[in-house]
Amino acid sequence: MTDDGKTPLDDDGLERFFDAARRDAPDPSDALMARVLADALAAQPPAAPRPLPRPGVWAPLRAALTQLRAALGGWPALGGLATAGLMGLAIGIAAPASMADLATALLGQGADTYLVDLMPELDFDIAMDLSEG
Amino acid sequence: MTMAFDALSDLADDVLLRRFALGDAAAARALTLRLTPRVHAHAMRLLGDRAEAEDVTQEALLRLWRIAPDWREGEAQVTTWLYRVTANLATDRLRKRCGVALDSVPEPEDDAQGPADRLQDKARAAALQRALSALPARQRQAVVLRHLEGLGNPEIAGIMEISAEAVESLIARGKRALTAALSGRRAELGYDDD
Repeated sequence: MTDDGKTPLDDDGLERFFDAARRDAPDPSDALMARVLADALAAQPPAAPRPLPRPGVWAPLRAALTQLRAALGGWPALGGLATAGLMGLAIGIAAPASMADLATALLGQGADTYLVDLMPELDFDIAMDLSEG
Repeated sequence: MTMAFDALSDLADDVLLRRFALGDAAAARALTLRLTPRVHAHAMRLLGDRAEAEDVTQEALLRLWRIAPDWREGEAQVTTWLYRVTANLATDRLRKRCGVALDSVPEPEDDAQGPADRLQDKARAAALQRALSALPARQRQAVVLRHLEGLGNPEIAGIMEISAEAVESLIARGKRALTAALSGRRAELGYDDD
């Protein structure tokens, strides 16, 4: 007890006031919640729409490419076509020696090729001898 | 207030705010449910007046909705920003009042109905609110953030834009003043019976 008749309050005593205030936290009214939500929805930017394709100078070209793609069988067919094209280009640039080896392997080093004229009356001769180069 | 189930309750505030800025109405509802009670409680403790606290709450959150499209994730916590804005708005209100009139803070309601312990909590909370309202604004803000909102000193320092040592000093002085103000009410508020 102090001189003025008051009971001194220690930290523990003050903490009990804080405990009581935390348990008795002021709740917002329903009206306030509704106002805040209305503000939020009013201030909210509209959801971004999906962009629509815009016609322009490239539109006819795009339409033609779309038709071509459909005629060839869609993206899988175009993918196969592109792969085959690239493979052909690569073989043509990088592997002429390999291709000669492949021809030799397939036809044989010593194999001769003979001309058989099945229709001599047409007088049309083609002769090729791989063994002579 | 009854609202749809908050299915976004696991998401962080800044993630919800980004969804809000993209037009997600569910994010708007989730943020309203999550943040309004905290902002309102803080404003109420700083101002001690329900009508003013509601105005400040609405204004602080309106500023959040407007800044949402420009919010940069990871730079600041949404709650830190909100506590700061709420305190600034409350300070403006207190300046206009030219000091807190203690008579405006409600006395404990002795004749209210309800369980005895809830009544006692209400009485103690009201007594604390009156004592808080008599503190200088910065001491009140620091004490409320630390002891009622439960924040750590580094976060309080960020909100108040001062050093952690200055926060500690404000809290110590505020608690000394509260202790002095509330000592005379210990017996009146039933602490001798605890």
